[in-house]
Amino acid sequence: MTPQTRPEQRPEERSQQLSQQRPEQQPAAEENVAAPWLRPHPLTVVSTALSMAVLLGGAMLIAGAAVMFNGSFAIGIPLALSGFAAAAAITAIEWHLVRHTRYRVTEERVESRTRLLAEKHRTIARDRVRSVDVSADIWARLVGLRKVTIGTGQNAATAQGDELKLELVTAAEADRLRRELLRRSPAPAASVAEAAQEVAAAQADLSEAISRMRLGWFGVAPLSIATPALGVGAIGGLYKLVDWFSNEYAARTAVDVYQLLMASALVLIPVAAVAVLVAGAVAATALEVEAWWNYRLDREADGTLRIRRGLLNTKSVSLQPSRLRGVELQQRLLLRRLGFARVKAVATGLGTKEQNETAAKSDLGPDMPVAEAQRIAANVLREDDSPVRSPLLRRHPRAALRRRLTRAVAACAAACAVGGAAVAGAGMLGWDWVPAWVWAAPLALLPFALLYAVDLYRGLGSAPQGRYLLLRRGSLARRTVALRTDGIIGWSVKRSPFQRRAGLATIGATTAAGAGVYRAPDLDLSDGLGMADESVPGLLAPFLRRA
Amino acid sequence: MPESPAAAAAPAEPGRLRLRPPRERVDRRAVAWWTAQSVLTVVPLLAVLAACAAFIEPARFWLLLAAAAVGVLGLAYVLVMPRWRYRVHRWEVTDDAVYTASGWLWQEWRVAPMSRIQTVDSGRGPVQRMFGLTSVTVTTASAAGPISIDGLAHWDATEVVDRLTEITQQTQGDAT
Repeated sequence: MTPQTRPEQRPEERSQQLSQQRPEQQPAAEENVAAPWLRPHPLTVVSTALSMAVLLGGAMLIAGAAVMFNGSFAIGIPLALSGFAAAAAITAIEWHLVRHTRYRVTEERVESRTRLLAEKHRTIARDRVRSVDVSADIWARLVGLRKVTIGTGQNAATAQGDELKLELVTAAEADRLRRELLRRSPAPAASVAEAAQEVAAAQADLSEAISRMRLGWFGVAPLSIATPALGVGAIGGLYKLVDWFSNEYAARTAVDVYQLLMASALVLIPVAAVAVLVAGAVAATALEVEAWWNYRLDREADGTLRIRRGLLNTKSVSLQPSRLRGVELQQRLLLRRLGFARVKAVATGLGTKEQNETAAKSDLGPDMPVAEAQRIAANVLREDDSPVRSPLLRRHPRAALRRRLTRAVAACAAACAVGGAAVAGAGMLGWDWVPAWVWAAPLALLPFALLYAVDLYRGLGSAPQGRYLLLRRGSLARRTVALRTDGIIGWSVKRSPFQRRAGLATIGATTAAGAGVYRAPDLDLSDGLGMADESVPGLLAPFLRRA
Repeated sequence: MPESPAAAAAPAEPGRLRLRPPRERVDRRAVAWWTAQSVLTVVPLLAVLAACAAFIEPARFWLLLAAAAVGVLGLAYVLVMPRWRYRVHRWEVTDDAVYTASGWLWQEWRVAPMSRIQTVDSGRGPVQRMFGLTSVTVTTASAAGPISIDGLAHWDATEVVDRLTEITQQTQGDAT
């Protein structure tokens, strides 16, 4: 890192710089003319105040009301008001922060600085900007503002991340920043007014609509294995709220419901199950509508893909085609039967699978009919036909099925062994209420485990296909990846002792995009190496031998 | 580009493909280093079990039984693992790629082309230093983790790092 010449900067701040500074002397005066320091919109504070008042204030108000309902006004009233006091304090801090924050976009970099007590200064070189995402939670939308997240798309786990966030700016300014920073030739607009004109002009130009939300797609939202859990959660949440106000009433209701269920179990247990499922379905649909309302996938004039979505909280993710390394089709168990799938981008700089927030960024659309998903896949990759075509996949050897069945049986056997140990332990301790059949209970799950094993095997498939490598795996969520072979930056071949005995290997293609490595488990060693060699000619060849 | 056996292979040729081991072995002292490492894992575990057995009277039999089991398995581990690893761990740097093999029961072979290498580092842990060994770590843009060559003699490691740095500097690009 070359030394910074900014006079007021202390050495410890230099180490915060994310990117390398250019070695030439700082043309401070000149740059200040070209790119003035801008400030976040003052209404940011209103947005913070609103969110804090409702979330903190509201929660404490309910808690306080619950206490008052139970007869203690001396505690209830201060409790109800404490939330608003905290909200006011946080808003005051935010007001100071916003007042002392400035940002600017120069020819070479994006900078933001906050001078309050300590100075925080963050810089990203413009040629390293890979993503500019615009989002707005409901509070920001109420005052018409947007949050802009500028990312460099580095996978390296830098201590403080690799993002620069601007909170909050007007929608027009957000759009200006997005267009300007994603365009490689920088031309900073002098004023916001000028920027608005530029935006209007840019919006008039051609952007191709790739896909739009259809209401019918929300219909499949409840078909998730998480739905029963969501239902239990929703009913549980409601119960907890009642419990706050009157735990006596809540307890009585719970006992009544329980007695009712026990009294005529045959009729009422199915009814209860239906109630849970309905609550879950409503919750799942609500979440899906919130996330994907008004979903639009466009290709802008400069080729950038743009995904916009959200009902209350809106998100806009821009994806430059140069960052795409392929696509993934994800089919969850129940949706697979209905012919629904979700398309995801395999792109650099969207974060790894472990980082959930960023992983959601790779969604190119909600669950939708496979044909539409395939059309999107073909379109974003600019291919005539989607490369993610399952019929092309080759089955993995039968030994892979044997391994999965063995694992299912072994898992059940292990569960039985634990049960047996529990029975033995209980016998020694004299706990005669532990029934002796406990050890055998896991056997009831064996058929399901075996079915799962078979479905896992049926999910396995792989094939080199022209400029793509196709890999498919999974049962509950079956993922088919078409990875562009020029995006493959290495191979990993793994073999366990069992795989060596069965002549199998797990072949992994490493890439800078998406999950970082895409593996084909339990391929025949020779077939797998052949596939790797065919996908990326020359790389593996010097290390291969024919026996 | 070296000729590709797979490309040359007509379907008539029945030979099965396999990976040949990388050319270079790691330093012989690596066996001692891995032994030391395994001893440092097994001994504290045994010590904890023995201490528990000494102080917890009622469970003494079971704890001693567990200690005996850990002792037998641990001894096998200490004796077998380092030698097995030494047979597996190999590396090779060609003009086009880095090729490594590692592991013992679970084994992994990695290949990364020179053009995709981002950084080359070398480092020594405290135990490794005692045996005069160095690890070389080669990262690519992938989140799959770096390729590492463990147990090189200091001198060899320096040579490898210099060579890799030299070759990768000639091939420019953003390595993604």
